[in-house]
Amino acid sequence: MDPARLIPAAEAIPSPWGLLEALLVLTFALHILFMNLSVGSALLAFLGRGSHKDLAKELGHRAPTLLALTVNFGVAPLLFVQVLYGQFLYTSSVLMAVWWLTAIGAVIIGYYGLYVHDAKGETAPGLARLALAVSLVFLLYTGFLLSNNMTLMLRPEAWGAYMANPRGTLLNVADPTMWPRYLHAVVAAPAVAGLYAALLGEKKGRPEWVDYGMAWFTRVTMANVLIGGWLLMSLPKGVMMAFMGASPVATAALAAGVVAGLAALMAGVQKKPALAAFLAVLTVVLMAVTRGQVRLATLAAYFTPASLPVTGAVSPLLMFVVSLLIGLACIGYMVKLYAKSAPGAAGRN
Amino acid sequence: MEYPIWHLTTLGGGFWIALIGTFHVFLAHFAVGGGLYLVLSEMYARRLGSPALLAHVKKHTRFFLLITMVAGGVTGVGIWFTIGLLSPQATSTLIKIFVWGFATEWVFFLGEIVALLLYYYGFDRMAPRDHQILGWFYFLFAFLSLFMINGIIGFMLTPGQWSTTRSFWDGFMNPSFWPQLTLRTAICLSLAGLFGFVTATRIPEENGQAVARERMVRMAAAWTILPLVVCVGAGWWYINALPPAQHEMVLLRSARILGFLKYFQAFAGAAAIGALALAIKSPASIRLPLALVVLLTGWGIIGSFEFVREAARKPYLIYGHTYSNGIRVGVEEATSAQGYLATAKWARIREVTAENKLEAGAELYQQQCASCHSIGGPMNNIKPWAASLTSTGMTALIGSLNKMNPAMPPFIGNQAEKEALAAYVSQTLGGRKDEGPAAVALTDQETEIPPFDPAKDAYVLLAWPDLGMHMVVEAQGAFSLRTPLLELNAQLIKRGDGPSKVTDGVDITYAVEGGAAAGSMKPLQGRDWFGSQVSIAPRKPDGALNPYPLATIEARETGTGKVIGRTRVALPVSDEVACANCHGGGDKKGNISGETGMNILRIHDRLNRTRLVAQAQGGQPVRCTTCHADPLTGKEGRSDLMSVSAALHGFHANTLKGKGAEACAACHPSRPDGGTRFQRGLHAQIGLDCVSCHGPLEDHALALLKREGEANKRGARRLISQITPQLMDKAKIPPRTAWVQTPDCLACHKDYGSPDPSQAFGNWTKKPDERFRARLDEMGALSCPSCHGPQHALYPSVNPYGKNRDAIQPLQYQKLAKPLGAQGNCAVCHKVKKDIDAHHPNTIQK
Repeated sequence: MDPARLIPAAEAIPSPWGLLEALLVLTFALHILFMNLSVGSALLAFLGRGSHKDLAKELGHRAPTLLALTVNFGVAPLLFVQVLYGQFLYTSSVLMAVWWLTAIGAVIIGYYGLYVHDAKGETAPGLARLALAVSLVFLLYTGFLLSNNMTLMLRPEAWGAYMANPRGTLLNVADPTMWPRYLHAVVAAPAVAGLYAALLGEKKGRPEWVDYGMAWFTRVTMANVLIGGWLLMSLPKGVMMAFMGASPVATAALAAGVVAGLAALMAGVQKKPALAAFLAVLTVVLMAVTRGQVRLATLAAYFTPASLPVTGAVSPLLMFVVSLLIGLACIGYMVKLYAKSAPGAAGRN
Repeated sequence: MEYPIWHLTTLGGGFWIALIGTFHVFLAHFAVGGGLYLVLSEMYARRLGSPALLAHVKKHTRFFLLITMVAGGVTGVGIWFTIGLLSPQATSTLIKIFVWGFATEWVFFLGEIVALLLYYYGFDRMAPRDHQILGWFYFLFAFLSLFMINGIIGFMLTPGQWSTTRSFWDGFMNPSFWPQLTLRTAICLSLAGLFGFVTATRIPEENGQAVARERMVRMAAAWTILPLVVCVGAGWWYINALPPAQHEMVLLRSARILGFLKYFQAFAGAAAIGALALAIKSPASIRLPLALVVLLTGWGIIGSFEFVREAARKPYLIYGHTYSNGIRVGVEEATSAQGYLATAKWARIREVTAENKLEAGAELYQQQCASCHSIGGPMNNIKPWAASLTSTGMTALIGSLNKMNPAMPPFIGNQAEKEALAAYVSQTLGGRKDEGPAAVALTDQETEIPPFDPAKDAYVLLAWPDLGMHMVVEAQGAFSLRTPLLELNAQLIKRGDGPSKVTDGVDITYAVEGGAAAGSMKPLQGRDWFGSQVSIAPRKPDGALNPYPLATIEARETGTGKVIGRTRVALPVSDEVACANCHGGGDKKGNISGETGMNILRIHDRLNRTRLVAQAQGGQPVRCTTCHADPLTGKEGRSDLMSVSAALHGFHANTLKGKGAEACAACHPSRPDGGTRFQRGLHAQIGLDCVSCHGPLEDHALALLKREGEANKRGARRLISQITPQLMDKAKIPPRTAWVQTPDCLACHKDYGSPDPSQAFGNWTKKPDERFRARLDEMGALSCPSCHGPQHALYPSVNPYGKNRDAIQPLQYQKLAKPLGAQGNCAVCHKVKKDIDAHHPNTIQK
C-alpha cells in the first residue's frame, strides 16, 4: 500500500513557512540546551554525590528551575512543529498514543523527583538519592518517547503497522536512526552540565568544580562525536547524500556544526569554560538547523512545507512580536530586580 | 477522516481529555487567582508587620510553585498531547488559525515562570517593594495567559463572525469572550481561596495565639465565597451571550447539561458551606482533612462548568465547522455517497461485505462514535443504549441521528454502512439476536353468505364498520395508544320503487362470531340508521390473530320479534402493530409486548424529559392521549402538545425516511406477508398502495405537522424544518387535522368520474361530513360505505382470510361483488331498474 495515501491532508498556515521553521529550530535548540542542563545537572548531582557533595547540592538545587525552562521551551517547538508538520506528527502520535501520553506522567514524576531531592538532601539523604534516581529514569524515558515520535513522524512507510494494531502501542525502535538520535541528544547532557558546573566553579571560586566539569565535557563530547558519526551513517541513503553535498544548505549546516563542535572540544581540552560554553551553544544551534534539514530531506519524497498555502494574516504575528519584545523586556527587568538584591538564603529554608 | 483513530473502549468517549483537562484547569485557574492572592497576602502581612504571616505567605508560595509549575504546567502540555491524540483534525485547525495566539500565550508563560521562580527564591533577599513588583508581574502574566486561551476556547463554542470572515480577530474576540473571561476569573479567585485553606489551616500558633492563622483562614473563606456570587451573574451572562442554537442546547434540549449545571450549583454550594465551616475554629486534626475535602469541591466546580461548555458545543468541536468525531462539516453528502470507509484514509476495512459486516461496524464505531461514547466506561457509555433497538431500529436511528438528538452529528456513510454499524451496536455490543418479522401463512376460509330472495324479501339490511381497520396499540403494563372501540353501523331499507329507511318499530342486534360480543343497536343522532360501539379483541382465546371476525346483524319487528333482515359483515381489528421491528420485545405472534412499550417509553423520557417509565413501573400504564390530543376519540390532551397522529408520524418521518409503503407497514398492519394485510379493497386490487393517496411518510407527516404548527404546538415547527418531502413541494402541502380531514375521493374522481391519480395526495376534505365514512349521496339517502364497503375494503375487495369475507352484502343482495346497485342492480332496493343516476353521477354507466 502506498504510504503517501495515508498522509492526512495539510491545511493552510498563516505566515511564510520559513519564519515558522526558523522559530521552530531556534526554540528547539533552546529546549535541547535546557534539557541538557537540567538532565545533565541531575546526572552529575547523582554521580558526584560522593566526591563532589557541594557541587551535587548546587546542581541539584538548580535542576528544577532548569527543568521548568526545559518544559517551557519544549512547548514552543511543539507548537511550531504542529503548524508545519502536523499531518505527520499527529499521525505518529496516535500510532504510539499510549506511550506518548505516559510522557506527561513521566515529566511530572521527574520534575517532582528533582524537588524532593533538593528539599530532602540534608534531612533524608536516602530518600533524596532515590528521588533523584527515579527522576533521571523518568526524564530519560521521556526523551526516549520524544525520539520515537519525532522519528516515526518521518516514516510514513512504517505507518502501515497501524492496520494490525490501532491501540496506540506502537513504537519506532526498529528505525536505525532512532537510537543514535536519542543518544546524540541525551549523551550531550552530562557534557553541557559539565560546562555549567565549570562556569559555576569559576564564578564561585571552586576550581575542583571546573576540573570535574571540564572532564565530563571533554570525555563525553568525544564519545558524542562518534555517536554523531553513527547517526549520520544510519540515515537513509538519499538523506545521507543530502549532507554529503547533494544539498548545499544541509551540508553547510552539518559541516559548520561539526567544526563548532570540534572547536568546543578543543576549548574544553584547553580548559577554557567560557569559550567552550559559547562554542557548545553554537554547536547545538547549528545541530538544530541540521536536524531540521534531516526532517526536510526525509520528508522530501512526500511533502515540503513550501507547498503549504499561506493565508498571510499579519496582525496576529505582529501581536506576537510585540508581546515577545515587551515580555522579554519585562523578564529582563525582573531578573535585574532580583540580581540587584544581596545573595542570601535564596529559598534554601 | 484524515487521521488514524486511537482505538479505545472502556476509556474512550473523551475520558482522557475529561480527566487531564479538568485537572489542569483546576490547577491552572488556581495559578491565576492564587497569584493575586499571593501578592495581596504579602502586602497584607507586611502592612500588619507580622513575621508569622509573612512566613506563611512564603510557605504558601512554595506550595503554589510546586502545585502550579509542576502538575499545573505539565498537565497543560498534557491537554495538548491529549487533544492531538483524540481530535487531531480539530487540533490541526485550531493550531493553524491561532498559532500566533498560542505563541503569545507562550511568551506570557515564560514571564509567569520567571516571575514565580524569582518571587519564590527572592523572598528573603529582595527589598519588599521589589519583591511585590515581581508578585504583580506574576499575576499580570498569569492573567494574560488566561486571556489568550479564553479566546481560543471561546472560539470553539462561538466562532462568531469567523465562520464567514475567517479573520483571526473575529475568531478570538468571539461572542462568548467577555462573559467567559468574567466567569473564569471569578472561578480563579474562588479556587485561590480553596487552595489557601490548605496552608492557612496549618499556620502554627505564636505564643499560644492563633491570630495569624485565623486571619488567613477567614481571608481564604472570603476569597472562596465572594467570587462564587459573581459566578452566578457571570454564568447567566455567559448563557445568554450564546447564539440561539447553543443557548437552546444549554437550557432547553439537553437533559445532560441540566445535570451538569446542577452539579455546578451543588459543588459551589458545598464549597461555600465548606469555607464557612473551615472559618470556624476547630482542631487541626479535623481542619486540615476538611480543607483537603473542601478543596476537591473546586475541581467539581470547574469540572462541571467545563462539562456544560463542552456539552453546549455538541455536536461540534468547532461550532459549525468540525464535528465532535473530527469529521468536517460540508462533506456529509459526498462522503456518504462514496461510502465512508472508502473515503476515510485510515479505515482498516474499505467496504462492507456480508462476511465482514460486524467488523466493519466496529471500525465505523471507532471512526464516528468512540470519540464521545465509551464502551463500558464512564464517558457516555453506549452499552445501556446498545440493546434498546433492534438492528433495524438502530439502522433507522443511525440514519436520522442528528435529527433525533441535536447533540449528535449526522452519520456519514451509505446504507450498507448504516446497517453494519447498527448490527455491531445492537448485536455485538447490545447482545441482541432479533429475527425479522416472519411471513404469516393464511388459508382461505369459506364465508357463509346469508340468504336473500329478491322476489320475496321486503327489506335490505346493510351494515358497515366506521373504519377499514382498528389498530389496537397496547404494550402490556407500559402504554396504550387509545381505547379501541369500533362503531358498527346498520341501516334497514324497505324495498320498493321509492325505498324508505326504517328507523321505527324495529330492533336491530348484532352478534360477533364465537360469542366475542353481542348487543343491540340504537338509532344514531342526526342519521337514519343504527349504530353501536363494539369492543372486540383481535385475538382468539388461544392467542391466534383474528383480524376479521364476522358479525351477524339482525333486524326484528318490535313486538312480534319476526326477523325481517339479516346480514353479516367483517369487523376489522388488529394488534399486529410492528413497533417491535425497531423497538424490540415483540412476541412471536406479531404483537408488541410490555418490553417493547418500556423501550419506547425510555426513549420518550430521554428525548422529552418525561418520567413515563417511572409511571408505568409504578403500576400506572401510560395512556398516550392523556397528553396528546386524539381527534378520533375526542381526547383533548395538553394544549401545548401535538396530536398523537402528528407526533408519531412527525417523529418517525425522520427515522423511516426515503421509503414507500414499507414505512407504513413499519407500524400499521399492512405488511403484504403479515397476518392482517388490511389493504384489501378495490384500490389495492388495482395496484395502489398507501402512498398513492396518503403520500409517503414524510409528506403525510408534514401535512399533520403544519396544522399543529399553526397552533404553535411544541416541536411542530422544528420537525417541519427537519423533514424533506418526497412527493410534493414542502410549501405546497396543505395542513390537515388528523381524522377530521382525509384524502377527498372526489379530488381524484372528479364528479364521481374516472380517477386522475395525480390529485390523490394533498387534496383534503374541508368539512367532516365530506369524509368517505360520513358522506351521504346527493339524495342524502345513503352513506358511501353502505354501498361501497368500508375504507380499504371497497367492493370488490378480497379479504386475506377468505375471498368473500369483505364482500358479503353485494354477494348476498346482487350475487355480484361490486358496489351495491352496480351493473344495473338498482332492483336490490328499488325492485326495478333505474335509468337516472340520482344517488350520484356515474352510478349508471353506459
